[in-house]
Amino acid sequence: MSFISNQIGLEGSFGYIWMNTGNWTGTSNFSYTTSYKELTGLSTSFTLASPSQDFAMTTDGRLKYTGLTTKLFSASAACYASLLSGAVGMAIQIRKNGSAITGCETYYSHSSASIDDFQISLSTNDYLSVFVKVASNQTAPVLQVNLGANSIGGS
Amino acid sequence: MSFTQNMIGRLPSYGAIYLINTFTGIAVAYTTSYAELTGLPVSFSIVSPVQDFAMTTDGRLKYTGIPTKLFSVSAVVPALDNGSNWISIKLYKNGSAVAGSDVYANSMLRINNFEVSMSTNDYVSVFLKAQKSFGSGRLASMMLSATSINRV
Repeated sequence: MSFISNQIGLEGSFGYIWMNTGNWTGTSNFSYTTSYKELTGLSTSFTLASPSQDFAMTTDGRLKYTGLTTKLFSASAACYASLLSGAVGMAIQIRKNGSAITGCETYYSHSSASIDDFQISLSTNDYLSVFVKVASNQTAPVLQVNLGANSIGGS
Repeated sequence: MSFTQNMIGRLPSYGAIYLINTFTGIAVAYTTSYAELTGLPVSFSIVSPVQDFAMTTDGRLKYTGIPTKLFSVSAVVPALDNGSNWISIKLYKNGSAVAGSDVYANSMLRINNFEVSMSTNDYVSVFLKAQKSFGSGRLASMMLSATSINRV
């Protein structure tokens, strides 16, 4: 029954990936630039939360929707780093299939940035990922990244 | 079909507005009383697509759907210079404070999934205040979103 409900899209779809080194040191140094770069292939891999429904992570850092029906999702993301003092300022985007989504971007003057509950439509095999840029080029660790998506049902 | 579902409120209603500048930020004068974030040097934009939402006044996310619904409302306000102040944001509905929605921090302010009921033409907006008045604060960006949870 659950399978059938899922096939026709009645059940909620949700997924969450995170990268967390679990300490204050963070990943091996990441090369931040003033242009957006995808957060993938860091020295610590992302993990897909369990359970996730209709989501997979076949490429590190990419939250891929595997459901059959096109759905609207509420997506959130955050990135925490340890940028160099005096050279801070971070911006992040949640991108869909590598393409920027207008308005889905946050700038901040410190070593972190977050996006909360931005609505994004996903079809089968679409994926979301987090892109980051900084105010000035530098090499520094990434402490934590998370990215989640929850389907929005009819209401 | 889609229109009919929407008229009777079966489809979800959602919308978001945003304001994006750069790391430099937008000048904002902080006051000790809550002031609406509207009419700033950079205008807000509304995302596309939205369903049952519009922005007819800068900074105000207006629900245009027919049935009254409960919404999950979130806001992100990354404040830059704040004169070593504590600052606060709060949701307002139709210009009236939404009790319990205020958050306090020294720079990054976030309201996550606060529940607000909205009827046709109700709007939500974000108000900001500071512990001490400060004339040259800055906002790097801002986002306000609402997603229907249920019919009321």
